Amino acid sequence: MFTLTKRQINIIELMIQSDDFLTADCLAKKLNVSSRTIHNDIHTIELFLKNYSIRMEKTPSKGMRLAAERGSIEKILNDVHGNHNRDLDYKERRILVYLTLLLNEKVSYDMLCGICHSAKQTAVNDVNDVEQTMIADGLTLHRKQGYGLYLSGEEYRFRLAFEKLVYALDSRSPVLSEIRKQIGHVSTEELKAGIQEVTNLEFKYDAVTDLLMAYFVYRNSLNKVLTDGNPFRNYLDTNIESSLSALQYQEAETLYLCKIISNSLVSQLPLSREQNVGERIAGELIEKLDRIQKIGDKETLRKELTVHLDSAISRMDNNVSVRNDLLEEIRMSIPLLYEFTKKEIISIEKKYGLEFNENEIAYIAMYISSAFESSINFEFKPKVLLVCTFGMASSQLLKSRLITNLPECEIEGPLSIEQAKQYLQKNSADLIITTVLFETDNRNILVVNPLLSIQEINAIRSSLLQLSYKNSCQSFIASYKKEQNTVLAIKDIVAEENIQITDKEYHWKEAIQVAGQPLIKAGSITVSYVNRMIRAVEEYGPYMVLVEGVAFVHAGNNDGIYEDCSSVLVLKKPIRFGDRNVKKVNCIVVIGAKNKDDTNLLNLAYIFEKQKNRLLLEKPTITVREVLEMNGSIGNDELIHCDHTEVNVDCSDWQDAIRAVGNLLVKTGDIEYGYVEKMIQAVKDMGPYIVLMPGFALAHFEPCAEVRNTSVSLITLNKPVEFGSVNDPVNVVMCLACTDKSSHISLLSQIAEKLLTEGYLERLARCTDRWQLYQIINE
Amino acid sequence: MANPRIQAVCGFGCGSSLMLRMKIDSILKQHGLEAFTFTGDVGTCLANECDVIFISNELAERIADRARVPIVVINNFMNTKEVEQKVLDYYKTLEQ
Repeated sequence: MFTLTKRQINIIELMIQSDDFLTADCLAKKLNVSSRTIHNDIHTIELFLKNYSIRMEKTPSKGMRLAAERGSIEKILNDVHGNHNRDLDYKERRILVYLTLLLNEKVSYDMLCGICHSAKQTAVNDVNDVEQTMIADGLTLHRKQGYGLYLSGEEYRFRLAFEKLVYALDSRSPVLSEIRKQIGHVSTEELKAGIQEVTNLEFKYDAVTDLLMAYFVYRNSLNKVLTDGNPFRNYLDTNIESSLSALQYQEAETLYLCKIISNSLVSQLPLSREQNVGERIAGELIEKLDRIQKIGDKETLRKELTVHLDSAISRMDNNVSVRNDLLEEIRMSIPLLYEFTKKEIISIEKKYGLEFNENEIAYIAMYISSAFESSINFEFKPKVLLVCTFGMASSQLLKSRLITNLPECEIEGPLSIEQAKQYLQKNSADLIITTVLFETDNRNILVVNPLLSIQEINAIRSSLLQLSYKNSCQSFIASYKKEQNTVLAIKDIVAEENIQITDKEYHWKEAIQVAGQPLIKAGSITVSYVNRMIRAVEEYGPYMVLVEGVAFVHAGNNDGIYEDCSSVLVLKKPIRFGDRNVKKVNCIVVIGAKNKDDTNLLNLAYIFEKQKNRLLLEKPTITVREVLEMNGSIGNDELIHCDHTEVNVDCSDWQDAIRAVGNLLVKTGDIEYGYVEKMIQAVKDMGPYIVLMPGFALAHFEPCAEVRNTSVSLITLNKPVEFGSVNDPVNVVMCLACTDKSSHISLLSQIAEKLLTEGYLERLARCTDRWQLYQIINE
Repeated sequence: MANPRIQAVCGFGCGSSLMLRMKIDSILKQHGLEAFTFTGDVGTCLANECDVIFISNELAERIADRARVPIVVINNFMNTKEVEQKVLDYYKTLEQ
């Protein structure tokens, strides 16, 4: 009987579908082979078609088509589908090429042609195509003249690649048998008997597992032994692992073997649920994440997640436990994304009658987190200010070293201390690197040696990492809550007796103990839970400072906790938090999460992220009641941003006052400093008409290039200044910057309305802290 | 008689003049008066067609000698009484 390969059938089908002529090139493109291969196939097809008395019509300039009646074509299709020798499609062929290279220490193109039934050009193309994947897998492809092709790389890379490829194949794929043929001399019987003996488990070995075992035996016979078992450590059934050690392989090999068996255990147990549950869950998760942050490459994430979820689901169905050594670290280092994943999984899992445990959730959180982080805009370009008083030579050297080592940063300087202070009045810096002791209120200062040691570079890197971590946390919290409808206040989450305010300056460890005290008293957590929280900070660093100035601490749900609970400690004097990469905090929030559907972390992080609340934390007279009332409302009617207010500013004259109020907008990047100078010049040119009413001046200029965003700032003065106006002296100064002549009208009219209220200006002038001022402006 | 065109003027026609205009608007409304109000900057206000200019004390002298329409000088832009009085005074001149 004459048989056709899958590709040849494809060609016939394409010809039937197309009424027109097709060229060999066009077919080659569609099927991803060379046109030489197509010509060979066409030759076979012509022979085949003779049985049906159908002729292939070939016209040199147009191409080929079938000259046949509809009835006879249907007959051909029936015949070819019922009875064909399955050939490889493009994907399978590349897998076969890759596997062949993993199996043989020397491969020639001719050999690949024979194995894949393709023309030599196709084999060359396939090898080229697959090389990128090899590189990504950590393997190097060598093309040695007069010898052939071979791969090099670490042994575990070979094993991982082999495993990945084999799992990617359909269990009926002819590639499996072809590969098994290539290592036909390797027997797995002895190994299987050994496994059965030590584990007392009856295994049914499918073709995939058998192949993986054969590879295991084969590599060991070549003395290519694994030295590092860690890549295989995570998916282990610990019972099997300990039994297998009786087989006396190297530890790493035992781990590898255990992984093969655990996977096989899972795959041979029947799947009781619908096939595509994993894919559907992946789809739902991605959709939820996408609403918070547009995901760049959804398709890849969907595929990866589906593969992971499918195996997680079958593990769950078959009660196979996975160990996740990273669980603790994941929960500590990506707490927000972990909580998010947990919350979403819980809302999805019930629908499918599943229950994911924390280990599985942590794995899923890793996929979600990496997708999130790669998708948030990396427009973030840290601004680094270099302060240096050494001679030009050493400071220039330092600068050039910084530029080479930190290409992602914008580096300003070197400036002397005086210059730097002036610079910081008008500009912001994410990180200050200095060779001399330099005092400012900026929290990120690193003192380095002008010659910049490796350790110092690492310290800078780590500091920048923290910055970008903070950015991604804040962007997550901000976008996460846009999705939520309910506005929660602290009082909805934390009981009044669990809120403490102190003016003591505790060591951070002590502060965590104090913060946890009410919860211990109430019997919600134990002392060991508190100790575990402290250890987590020691081990993972101050990752838990999710919001500037606020540390969120917690431990695991088996670390001595009886119920969901939380407490807050407000520190009137900020303390240094953590031993490494120290951050200053003025609030510690203890999260006790016993039940996995607890979302207090997300909710509290959202509330504390609100600037108005962080401002309240700085208020010297803060009360427990005020803390309880803190809420997450966005405050659409915020007229002036709290960063744009300041109380009791010391100014010597009216120019100073305009600079002070204008710089608040410069600092947040809403205007450039040039605008401030223009406002001053305007008063010089046109007189103090900007003093609109007694005690109040509105500094402004016309819309111009120096204005980036329409914005308003306001300060009160410690001592009033004279503008030379009939309305002197002035103690409240407002700055207005607008991008055009209309965008600010509604904003300004609201402010004007307030200013016109009897006694309003006096109330502003009397404010003693920013919080009060902010409240009065935005009330 | 057509509604008067009132121009509120400051240095740039977008900050304080806007506040003054809003003030004038609210007073007109209170008294049931109608007018077309708009803002202008001190450099170009004389080229704008209008019936009266409301302007601050400091800026007034810059245009006083060239203006062909009445100029009303306001000391305190936010003082309702002052602005109200001056707006009503202006309307009185229209009746004559």
